[in-house]
Amino acid sequence: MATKRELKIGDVDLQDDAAKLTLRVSLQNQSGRTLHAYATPRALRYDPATKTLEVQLSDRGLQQTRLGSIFLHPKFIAVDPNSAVTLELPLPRVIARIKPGQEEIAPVVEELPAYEANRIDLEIAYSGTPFYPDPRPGTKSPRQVLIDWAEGVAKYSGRPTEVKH
Amino acid sequence: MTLFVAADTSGAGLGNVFPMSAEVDLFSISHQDLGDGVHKGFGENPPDNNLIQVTYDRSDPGIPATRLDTLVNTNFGVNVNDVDVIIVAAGANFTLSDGTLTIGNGFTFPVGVTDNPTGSVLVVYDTSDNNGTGICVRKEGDGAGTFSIEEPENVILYHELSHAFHLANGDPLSSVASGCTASPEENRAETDENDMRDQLGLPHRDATDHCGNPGCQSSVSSCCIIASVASGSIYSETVKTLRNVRDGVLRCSECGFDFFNHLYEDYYAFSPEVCRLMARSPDLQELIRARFLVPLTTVLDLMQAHCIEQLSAEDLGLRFASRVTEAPELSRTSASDIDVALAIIGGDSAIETSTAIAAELGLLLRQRASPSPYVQWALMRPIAMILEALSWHLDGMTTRQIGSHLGMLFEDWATQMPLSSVWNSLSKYSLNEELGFLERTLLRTTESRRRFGQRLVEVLMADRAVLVGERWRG
Repeated sequence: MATKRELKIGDVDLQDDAAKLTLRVSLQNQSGRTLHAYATPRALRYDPATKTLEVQLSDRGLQQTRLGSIFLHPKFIAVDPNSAVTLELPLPRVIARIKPGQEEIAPVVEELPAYEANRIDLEIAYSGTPFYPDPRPGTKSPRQVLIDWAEGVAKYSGRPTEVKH
Repeated sequence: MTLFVAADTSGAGLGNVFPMSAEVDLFSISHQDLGDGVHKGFGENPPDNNLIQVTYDRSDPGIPATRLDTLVNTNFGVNVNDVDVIIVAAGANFTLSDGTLTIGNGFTFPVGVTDNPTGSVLVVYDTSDNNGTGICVRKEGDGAGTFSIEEPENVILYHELSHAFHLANGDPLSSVASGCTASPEENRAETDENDMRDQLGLPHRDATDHCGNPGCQSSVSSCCIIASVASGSIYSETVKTLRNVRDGVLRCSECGFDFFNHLYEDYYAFSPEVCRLMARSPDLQELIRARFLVPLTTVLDLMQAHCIEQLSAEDLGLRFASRVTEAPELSRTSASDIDVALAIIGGDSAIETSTAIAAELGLLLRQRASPSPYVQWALMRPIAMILEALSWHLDGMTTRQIGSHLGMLFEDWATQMPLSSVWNSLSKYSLNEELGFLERTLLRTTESRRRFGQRLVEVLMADRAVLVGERWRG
């Protein structure tokens, strides 16, 4: 019987070299078919209260349309049948964002110390076929095409195996 | 006096925002305008309340400089503070309200949206050049899915200032997008962006395409994976030809799109294994290139000539002869080469293939490719048709006879396209559109339409079947 097409996340470790964080993720494909997964983060969030760093390698839940220069596609990685690869993701030690507010004269930047994370929430979208953009006129937004492409989302939630401060 | 750069160099912005980068990029937009004795050129005021006011007394006549002049010296009245547009020059660690990374991109926010806490139009753009790896977009004149020209940060900023200008001016267009097609507002900003590209001596971006890729050397997809490996590059002419036929014609229709989804599902069940075999054997890579890849691109060209250009049998035969002459892989093919190639794709174990690894390929195709009607119809049968035509050529058949036989093969092949459930999901209007699309691209003759129509009627619901019957008298 064919194995279910499922990508699993094995070891996850987070290293801090004082210049950046590096998240190493072991991706395991136990099926008999090459699986294709996101290889670039699409969103990062950090909750200082729980010291949880969310690393999202999928497009679900992200705002569909913003005025911007480009709709940037992610990079992908292929994981061969019955094998594993290690995905290495450089991440910022500190995440910056504009502090929420209303009618401020100038934007205020706030910092989120991702290097203090002791918990990782990770999700990685994958599929049994590579991603192809949808050339049909008048259909879905480019983000929705990516969301619909994903056959599954591999998840990890827990402490990374190694944290160096 | 309405354009400002966010400073915040003493607070949390230190190391996170880079106002000097914005100043350099704005200076570039002004065409390095230092003035001319009468006009003072580009300048800035000292930071005040974490904002640096841009000043500009223009001496440069260029379009980007004129746009900058308008942005700096018009009071748009966005708010009572006369701060109409603020630029945040972001580092690689910047995120938006939902966590979206700004890296490699630029964004413009009107007043009142979650991402903008200010009373001004807010531009946030990446100054890290996608952390050094760059961003690439589609060049004007290139096919869809090809991202070959860079999008430097000063071009990104100019693009965002186009949005900012229209938001401040109260005349933004619709930003609703479908697929990679630029929305009306993005199309306008990309058209403006090309003025900045002219100033920098860069090639034009295709203003109808809003997608981009991280770096120019990567492809958004593993397009035609076997073709990419066998021809040595995802940018080879062979791969471009296949990609353009696929994305420029076939996948633009509902049924074509669905067909390719089925084809990908089956194709990617065996193609990575073919690539692994090629990695083990340069001889096999050459065999696949010469016996399958070149014939496939040749037959696609001939099918297009027959179905779309509607060449006569004589002209189709001449086109075939011309392709054979141009391609040494075809002109040097012997009868035994054809037998080996047909044995591999036909899974005929009775005919010995030249090497053990070629036999392994034949076994793989027999087990995992041949059972798929989509792979059979789209890949294996077309390759077999051109191999058959080559054998006629070797047998001394005239070009007219070859053209005539090929035309008949194409007509028969076209009527055998696999049918999926998508046909029943179409509205009557869409079904009619699809039938029209097939008439223009695949089903050239009344007879082929009648035969395909008969197959279609068998799978369609009654009200749709009537429509096919009326159109093609199936």
